[in-house]
Amino acid sequence: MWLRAPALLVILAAAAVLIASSPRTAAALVRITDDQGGNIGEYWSRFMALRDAGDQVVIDGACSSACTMVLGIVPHDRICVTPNAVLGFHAAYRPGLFGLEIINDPATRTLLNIYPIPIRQWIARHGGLGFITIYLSGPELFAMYRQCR
Amino acid sequence: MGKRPLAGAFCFGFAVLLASSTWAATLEPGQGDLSVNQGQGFQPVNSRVDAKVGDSVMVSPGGTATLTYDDGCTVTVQPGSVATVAPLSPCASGSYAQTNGDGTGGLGGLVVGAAAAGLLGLGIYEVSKSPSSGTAPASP
Repeated sequence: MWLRAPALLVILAAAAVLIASSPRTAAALVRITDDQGGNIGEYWSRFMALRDAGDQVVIDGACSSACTMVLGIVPHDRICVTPNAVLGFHAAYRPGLFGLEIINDPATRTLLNIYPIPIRQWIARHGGLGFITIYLSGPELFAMYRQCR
Repeated sequence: MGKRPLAGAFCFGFAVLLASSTWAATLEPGQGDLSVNQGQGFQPVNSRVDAKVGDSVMVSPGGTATLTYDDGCTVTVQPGSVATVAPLSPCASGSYAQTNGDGTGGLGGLVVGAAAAGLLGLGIYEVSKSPSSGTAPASP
């Protein structure tokens, strides 16, 4: 009987050491403060990695263009917004002749398909995705996303 | 009143489902032999089929096939090659969504291009309307 408690302690200690030394890293907290977007494929890969790692996302500033894909890739309950959060939406484009930026309709449809339905509805109410960036912030944003503590 | 939370939960669940859904494409046979591997080895295909992310498409030498992604992006599978259905449409992955700091998205390039075209047009107009000294009527 006396040996059982120490044996249990040894097992628990070994388990703790095993857990502590396991390669799995803890989920991180990613803060977005000023992100103007970029290549859609790169952002897709980046946010898929965040999603798979279980990371939390804090939007604490500008998050425009491809950055807004985070809304549709990372689960809703792992995203929070601060009063500084401003989301900017516009159409996707591809480089054309003489540096002209040409709206890419398939890519724009992909962007729309990625967004959660409330975001799509908000975009539709504001004229859809076009050249001009439309911004979502403040109470309208807080109605859709949890405010960070 | 009691239906609202349920509807909200349903919408949220639907949104999460959509967000986590994988991209798909439609495969259209052209010429030659076409096979698709959807996880159970390559199977011959003779008519249009839906392909999922990760499916492999093999076209015989001299054959053709077309993959059309959900966003309308079309990719031609080259003869004698194997293509894989990508998780993100190739049209989207090669595109940009970047704000230029002026709040106009990609409008900056369009404005510059339009201004350049306008200046060019104005220049052509001015050159064409200005009287040449050789053809001007002599004043009495």
